[in-house]
Amino acid sequence: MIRAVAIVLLATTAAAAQAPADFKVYDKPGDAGGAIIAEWKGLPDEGKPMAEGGVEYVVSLGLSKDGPWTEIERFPGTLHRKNEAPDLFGFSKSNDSEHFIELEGLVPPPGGPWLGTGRSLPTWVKLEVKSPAGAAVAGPLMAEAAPDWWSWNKSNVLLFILFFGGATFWLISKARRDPNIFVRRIPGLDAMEEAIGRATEMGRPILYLNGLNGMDSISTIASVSILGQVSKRVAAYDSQIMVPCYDAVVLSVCQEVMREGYTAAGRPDKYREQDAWFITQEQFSYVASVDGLMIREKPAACLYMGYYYAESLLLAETGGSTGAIQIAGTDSITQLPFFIACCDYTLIGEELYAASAYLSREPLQLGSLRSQDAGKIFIIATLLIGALTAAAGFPFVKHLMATF
Amino acid sequence: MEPFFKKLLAMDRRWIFLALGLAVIFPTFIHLNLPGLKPSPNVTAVYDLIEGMPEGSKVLVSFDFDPASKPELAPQGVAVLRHLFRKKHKVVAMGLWVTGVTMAKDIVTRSAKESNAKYGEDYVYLGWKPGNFAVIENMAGDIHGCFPKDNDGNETASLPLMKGIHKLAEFDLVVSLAAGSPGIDTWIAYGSDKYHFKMTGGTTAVNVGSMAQYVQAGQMVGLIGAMRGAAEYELLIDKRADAAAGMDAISLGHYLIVIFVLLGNIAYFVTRPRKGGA
Amino acid sequence: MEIFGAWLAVGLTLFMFSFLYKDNPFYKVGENLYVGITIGYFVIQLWYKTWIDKVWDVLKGEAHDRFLVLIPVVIGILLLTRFVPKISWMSRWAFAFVIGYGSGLAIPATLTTSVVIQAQATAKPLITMPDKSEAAAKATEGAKANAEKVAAAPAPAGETTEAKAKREEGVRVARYKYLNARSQSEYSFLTAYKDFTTIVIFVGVFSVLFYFFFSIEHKGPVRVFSRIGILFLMIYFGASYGNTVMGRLSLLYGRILDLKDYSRPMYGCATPVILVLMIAFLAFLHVKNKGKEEEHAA
Repeated sequence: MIRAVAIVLLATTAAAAQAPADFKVYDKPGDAGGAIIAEWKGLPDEGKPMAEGGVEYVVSLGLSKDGPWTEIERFPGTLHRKNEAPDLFGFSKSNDSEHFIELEGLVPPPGGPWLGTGRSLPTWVKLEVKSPAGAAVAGPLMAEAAPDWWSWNKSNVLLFILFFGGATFWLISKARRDPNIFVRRIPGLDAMEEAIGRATEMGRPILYLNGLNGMDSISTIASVSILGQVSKRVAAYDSQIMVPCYDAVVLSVCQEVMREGYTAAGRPDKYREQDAWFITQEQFSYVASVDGLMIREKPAACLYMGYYYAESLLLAETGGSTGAIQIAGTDSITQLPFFIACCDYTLIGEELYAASAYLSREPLQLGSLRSQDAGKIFIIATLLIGALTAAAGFPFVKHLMATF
Repeated sequence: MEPFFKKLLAMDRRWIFLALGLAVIFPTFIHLNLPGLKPSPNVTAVYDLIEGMPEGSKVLVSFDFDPASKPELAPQGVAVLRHLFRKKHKVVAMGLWVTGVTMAKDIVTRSAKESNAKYGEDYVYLGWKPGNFAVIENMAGDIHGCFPKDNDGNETASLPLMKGIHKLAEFDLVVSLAAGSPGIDTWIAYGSDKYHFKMTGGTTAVNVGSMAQYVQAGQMVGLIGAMRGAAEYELLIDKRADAAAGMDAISLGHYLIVIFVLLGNIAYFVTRPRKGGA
Repeated sequence: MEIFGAWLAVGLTLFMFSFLYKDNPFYKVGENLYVGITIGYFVIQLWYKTWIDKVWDVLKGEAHDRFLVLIPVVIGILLLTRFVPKISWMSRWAFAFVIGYGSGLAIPATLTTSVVIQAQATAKPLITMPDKSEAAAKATEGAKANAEKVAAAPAPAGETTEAKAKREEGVRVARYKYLNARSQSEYSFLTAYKDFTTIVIFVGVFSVLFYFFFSIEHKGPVRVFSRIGILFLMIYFGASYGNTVMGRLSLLYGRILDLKDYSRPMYGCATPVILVLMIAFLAFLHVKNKGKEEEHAA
């Protein structure tokens, strides 16, 4: 009986004094240096309070194997689990029962901080396990902090950029070889044809606005591209177009594009440079001037293509009051509701770029549009698979998309 | 009926401007105290976050708006600062919009004076630096390098509050009160998503829809939206101020607009040409 | 100085508001002033906060790497060569640096924030399975006990109306926290509501993505799905419209509050005085222009 008790006591004492298994110390991966990681497997019953057989871990650092030791942190067995740092250890189930600690503020090697930043002197780490029944020591083990070239945490974003970028380049080169890439017809484009025809029949001009951004804005580029095609139609129908501009650089681009449109339609003689002119670069002065133009000239069609700000409703309302057919296209999310309320047709966001690609058939625009669709397919597939696998209890898609 | 609605549709819009103006002016003279203001979950989340932080937590407040958005965002700023100073948190203020620098300083200084906060120890105003997202990236690495001096020309390193703060990630919370870009989206994209600090903020009514996606995705905790959000926050901190007072005017204006929209729609259907014969 | 500031603020506010009547000289003055002042303010801020702080003071300092700051200064100067046709080619190097740096910083950040994290947040189970673990049950019990305790707490003597409202809010919050905890461990109405929201978001994301898909014709099921997308878009635009209206009204209220404040005698009754003067001037202009029009007509 006594022997049995002694064996049990010995076993209990031996278990409590057991050093953690798999104690490792290494440079923190994927960082700019300055930190090392110590990790180890958890002990049985470590989650209990100390009085009930739980444990306390004490981590100490030293610059040599024999010390002297500086205590860095003391914590119970419930803390510093690997599942708190999925950026370092992933999402494995075993992380719930394993520990780690990140050690920073290490002693750098002599020689100045601005070269070799992130390096440290060889640092020894000792792990002590304290419990009511006794204590045990793991280590000491040595590691040196060093900066890394590669951060694995951002690999998923890199892969996505490579996929998307690669798809874009490939699809642009495909569009160069075969410009007849299918782009679905956008309803607003049919309306544009109808608007130009209507203006010709009524003998009234078409008003075309490019928005209030400069040539660095994607929507202005798309707008100017559409203007080229509209000018071609206007030239073919022998109609009239007015293009009041907000930006001087946009004006010169518009004039060139219109000249090309008229030439392409075989009517270079009909092109008039004064059909496009600069008004002012002040928002509401521009609007006041265009509103006055609408009321005086009574255009049959008003086309608002580009980026707009608070003046969108002022323009659309005045255009509506003159009885013109109005078609808008903008990627300005805050102004879309106003255009949708006031205009006959609205190209929403990306439809403006698609319209530009559809009309111009430029390989660069077609390829970019296609690659955006490829990106959308990828996202749709990811969402579907992610939702289904998460519901089945396998959230690996969600883990793959984790960003750190 | 039809002639009345025809006349209504042809009415000079300036009468509508006048009616709306009167609807907004009237409550500034006669306080209606309309009922129904209750804190929404998003605003409560911001309040709970600040309330739950231990005393002395370091909070960065970025005033990313200009005077054009002052009526919506200044009350948010004042309410949040009152809460922060009441909880004795340490506040570092700055801005990403150049046109809001002086206004932001005024808001911070007045709120600090009200709470007897001491400059340099309880709060610091860093001011503005150009670069938008580059400022955030710079601050992430070295705040003192990005802002070597505060807005008043004091060496940042010499201020007691700033001595313990070197990087963005060392803040316990970043609050961005933004009217657009650069703003909340910039702080999240170049700040909290990369350097993992807690993020919350407030924005104008126009941008609430765009910012809600970040709350839904867990990239920020709560969101104070527009003047209504500021009024709700004032309710939570038990200090009704400009925003709560303004809700009467906003509400009356909204009621009027709803009436006009309804009238306009009825007029449209009554006056549109009928199909078929008489 | 404060009175001058008040008169300036009121004057410019009323100048800009006069556009609501019609375009007039007051509005033009206000708008031009705004443009000029913004540019001037920006130049001064740039000078002191960028040039002086980040270049001049650094060069005057004693850091051993202080001359590194000249590299970005030279790149910035290269940008200006755009205005000299003979050497404008140099600006391309600077632009290349700016665009390269900007893209390198912006693309991963935007992709992470606006695509990957958003997709991760949306890719979750459409139906929540209850958490039957002990921890969840414990949390529910704890939240229930707290809610009952808060609800049962008696009202203190002499409680004000505001304190009562706050106490009742506390009871509601505690009950909500209990319902929330319960929704984790058993399928409740709140869980169903959350699942419904998830499904709506899911359908919305899919259908809107389908709407903006340009590589296939929208026929059959694709057309139906993209029409659902349009519905979501219109609901969003309606909400956005309403939010914008609210925002504009808030701005109007803010201005009116200032105008009311500055109409006090301590500010020289700025608001009524300027308003009356402006109305008188605009009336004069109106009469003068009407006279001219009648002359032309005759």
